[in-house]
Amino acid sequence: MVISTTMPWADNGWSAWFSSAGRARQVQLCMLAFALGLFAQACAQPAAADQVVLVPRLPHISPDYAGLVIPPNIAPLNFAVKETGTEFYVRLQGRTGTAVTVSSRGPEIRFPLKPWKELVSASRNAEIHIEVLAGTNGRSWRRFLTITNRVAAEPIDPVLIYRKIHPAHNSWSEMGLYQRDLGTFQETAILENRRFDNDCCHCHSLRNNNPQAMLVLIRSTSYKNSLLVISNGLAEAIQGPGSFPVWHPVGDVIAAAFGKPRLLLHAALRNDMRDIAELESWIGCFRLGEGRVTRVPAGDSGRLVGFPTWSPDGGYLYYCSAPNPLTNSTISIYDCYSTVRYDLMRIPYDLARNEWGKPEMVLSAAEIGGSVAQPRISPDGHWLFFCRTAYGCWPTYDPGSDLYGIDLSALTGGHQLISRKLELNSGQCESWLSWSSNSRWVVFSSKREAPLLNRPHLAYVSASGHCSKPFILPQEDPGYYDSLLKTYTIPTLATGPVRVSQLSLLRALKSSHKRKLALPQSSDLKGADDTAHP
Amino acid sequence: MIGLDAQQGRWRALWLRVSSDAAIFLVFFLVLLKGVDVSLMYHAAGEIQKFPVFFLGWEFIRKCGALPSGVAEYLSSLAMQTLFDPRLGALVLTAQAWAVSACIRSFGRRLGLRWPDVGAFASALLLMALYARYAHHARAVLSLLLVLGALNLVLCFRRSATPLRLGVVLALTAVLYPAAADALPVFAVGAIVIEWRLGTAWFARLAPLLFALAVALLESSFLFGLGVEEIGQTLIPWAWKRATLTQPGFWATVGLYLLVPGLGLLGVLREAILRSWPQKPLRLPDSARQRRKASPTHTRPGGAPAGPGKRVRPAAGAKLGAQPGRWWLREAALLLLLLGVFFVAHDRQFKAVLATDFYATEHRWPEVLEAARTDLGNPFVACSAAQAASHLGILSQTIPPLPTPEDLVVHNRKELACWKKSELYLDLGFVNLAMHFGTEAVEFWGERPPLLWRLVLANLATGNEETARVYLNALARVPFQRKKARHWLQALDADPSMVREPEIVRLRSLMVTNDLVGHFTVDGQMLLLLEANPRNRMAFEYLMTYYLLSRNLPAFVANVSRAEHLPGFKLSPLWKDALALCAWEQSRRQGKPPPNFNDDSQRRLDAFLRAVAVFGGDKELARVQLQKDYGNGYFYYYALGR
Repeated sequence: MVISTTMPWADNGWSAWFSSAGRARQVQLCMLAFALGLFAQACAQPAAADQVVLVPRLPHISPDYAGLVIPPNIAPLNFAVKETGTEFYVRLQGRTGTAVTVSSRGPEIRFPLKPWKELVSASRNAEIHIEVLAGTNGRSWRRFLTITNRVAAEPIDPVLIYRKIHPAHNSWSEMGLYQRDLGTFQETAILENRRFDNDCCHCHSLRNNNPQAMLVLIRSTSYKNSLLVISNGLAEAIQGPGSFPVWHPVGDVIAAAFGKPRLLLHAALRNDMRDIAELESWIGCFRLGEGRVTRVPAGDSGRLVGFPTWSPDGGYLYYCSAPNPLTNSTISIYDCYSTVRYDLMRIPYDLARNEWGKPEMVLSAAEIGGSVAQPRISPDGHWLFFCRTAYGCWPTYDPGSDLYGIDLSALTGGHQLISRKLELNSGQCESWLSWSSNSRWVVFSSKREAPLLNRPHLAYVSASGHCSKPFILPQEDPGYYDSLLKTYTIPTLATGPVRVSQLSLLRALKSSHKRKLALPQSSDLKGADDTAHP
Repeated sequence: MIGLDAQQGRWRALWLRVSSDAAIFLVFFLVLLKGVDVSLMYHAAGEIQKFPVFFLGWEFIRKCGALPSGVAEYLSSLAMQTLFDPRLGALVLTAQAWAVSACIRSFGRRLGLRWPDVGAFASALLLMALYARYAHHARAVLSLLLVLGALNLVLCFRRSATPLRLGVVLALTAVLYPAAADALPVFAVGAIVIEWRLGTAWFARLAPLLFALAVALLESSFLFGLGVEEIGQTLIPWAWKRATLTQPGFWATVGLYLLVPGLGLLGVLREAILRSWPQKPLRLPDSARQRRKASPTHTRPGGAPAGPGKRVRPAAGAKLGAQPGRWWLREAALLLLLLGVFFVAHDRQFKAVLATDFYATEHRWPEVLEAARTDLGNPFVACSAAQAASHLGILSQTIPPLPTPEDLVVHNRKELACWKKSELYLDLGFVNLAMHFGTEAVEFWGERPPLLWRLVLANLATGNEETARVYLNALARVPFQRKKARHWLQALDADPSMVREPEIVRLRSLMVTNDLVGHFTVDGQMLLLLEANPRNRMAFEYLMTYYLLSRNLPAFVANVSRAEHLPGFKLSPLWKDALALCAWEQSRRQGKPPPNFNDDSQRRLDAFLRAVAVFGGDKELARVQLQKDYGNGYFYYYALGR
């Protein structure tokens, strides 16, 4: 593969350099290398005399990076050309600056990092064009219609945090929590379970996209179930159960779901045979300094309550709630799992007084004809996106799970909330959405490439709440996902990297002096059991 | 003339050593090939823990390199893939054993330690003991080999100045921690032995140990981000767990790791004893003195000639070479010892478990039955035997010797059973359960090719070709699986529906169509399969066999009419006996005279009842005494069986 930026040597003072007589031998070597480079490029790049046929369609490329809105700080969108040919030539042109050309003997096109970043960064709020030519034996070339992508003015948060795990059922082995620099391809481990007896690190969340305030839940037989709290460069583990912890945007208050999820297996369902049903679930809340969990009055004991999320100002806790059919002891979970539909609700919270108000219905399951799960509010408080599934609380196992959005500003105006199916959906499962801190980008897990395997996708959200075509997280190797047997869960955008070392997290987890969460006496719940995997 | 004789003696010794090695490792190879069958280790059958997975590409290299011993991890994983082919695998393991043996011998000889040949041969015996138990400890063995190679490299500098040699030790220590940290303590001890034999100052002797500690401390922290408390774990090839002690082959690996330190320790002790023992100077025999003069290799390591009165060993094999009879005797003894270790260590019952599962995966049904004869008491072996019997059309003729009726599909067995279940349910056509257990098995046994292939089939059968493609692409990066995976990918490209692939067509014709959620019993699963396809002969036979095993004769009778859907299916005498027994039982309970059923069954039942009556109420005695004549019949199983 030959990579060049157009005429970069035009005014670089090369003539003065040449004049140095002592460098004659080096010059000869340089010229030879230059000539070889030119020859190689000439071999791979269409010349004027070559026959070029225009093909009136876009080229097939994988991943599909055509017709996108992309962040100005994204890593190169490397791709593989899925057209017949023995050599390929790609030219990337922005609004200003020099074009980046890549010639390749194989279908894989990898843009050089620095020229890409310069070009994309200079093309904010403008279009970039990707011209693809496929050649056969250096003579006959096919030129396809130009791919046009728009570079947004607003950057995406620079780091993506996610968990990678096999599409597991009851058991797990290797998994890890990783962070990826979105401007490059660098992935580093935050916490890998091979360092703590292959136990499970499941849910994680950030406060206001801030990597210095992070929660990670660990399910461990060796070191007890624990909540790792990363705060201001320090890590502490609090022993206790829970799932989906969320940190109050202002105060040191953490809300989490406590439940008994049960993995169910379908005998004949295609795509994904897994299902999750909650036998019991409630939301608890505790102050970091105290560690005494109190039950949030989000519903009576006859309801299932889960997926808490704070409003950006911390004045409300949003959550999902459904009547628990298992209160009738004659019914088996196998008979009723598909009848459970969750409403979207919220409850006011006064941080100063530590008092809860009365629960309010935001969006009923009946209104959307399905079940609400994983609500996520944009940091500007304008939008609430959620998963809509046919039933239940586990969209990531539901092939029909789609992302919907509602305009929360309608709540303050007293208008009726109208939910809308977002443009970024596919025919497969979408779940685990996370907002960028500027409310202009979302990342979510989608199974559109392979119905068992979640992949992170990014999409732009306009001021009017409309989403652009989503695209898969770019990788240095365009074929990276083709053979990746792991699935990405809970992708979360962060304003920077997590700086606490893995060693600090491990020491906190393995510490024998951990504080314990004190659960309410009335509850016999032990928290999330071993059957659920986000 | 004396020089010429010495030269000839050395050549002769070398030739004898090479011949001896060739004979030993030829037998080693043949035993691995024929006795052990190393391809069974590759298959692993959900029994061999942590058999290495390997993928071509940077991603796997990065993963291996993220922790100490990464090079050994990568190379051993690659080497173990050759076990796919029994001949190549046996050759690679033999070559590895030879290399370990040669390195130990070379180390001992060049240092003038006692019994280097014994140490070398002991390593071969220990590795034979390891492989005979179908254990591999692949990374541990390769780490040791790398370290032994490094020690021999250090010995190349034995005549150099001490600082230079210690510099080499330091450099090698720095390289070995990321490459083969498992065996770094062996390297440190080996380097200490070298310094001790070279007679350097005490601080030079301690330097390798300090180097190892310092390098481990620095590199673990700066290269790998490990804590001090984690360093200890990186410096041994086993986990600090009590369960480690019971791992197959654990003690053989410990023995391997102790060989070099052991040789060194023996040398130290011997020298200490000789020094402290007041004795007259040792006199060498004339012939030995002549050899010493002729052979500069028998000087003190480091180039200094051996002092007067010091014992100098004769050239290896020279003594035996002079007496061919003794040489042959020694060789025969060594080979017998090697074979003896194999016969003592060989786990034949475990081989039966591996072999039955392997042949079942390969659909080599007669061989399954043959291999199962060794250990039919094992539920997994018996399960595979029942599966083979079904495919050979003889399941209905006998009662499978399963520990429990549920073991027909190893239903109540947990982790270990996932591997077997994923294959068995695919065979039965219960694709979703096969996918479930295949996914679970990947968590227990890693991304092993047999499991990935099952997931490919399951996903293709359910029409999920995109996920199947991901599994196929992964398999295309596994040595020895590439060709097949690419063939399937091409087939998938040509026809995404895969309607021309017989196995996919078969699975789709058998798949369960009624989507239920729940915990299904064995008969519930089979009934679901028969509901989806009444012509699923295997499911039918399994259902009926399950009822027979669980002595549920009313259910057996109620479902026997399903045989109508199977063209050409004939009730076996065993099943007819069960029908007769059910009718006889019912009439007995209702106080009615026994009904008329076919004469053969009637005659067998009468004979059995008469035979049982002889023993009165002594069921145990009847069980023993009637086993021979009635043990294969259903009456015996129903009344006296397990």
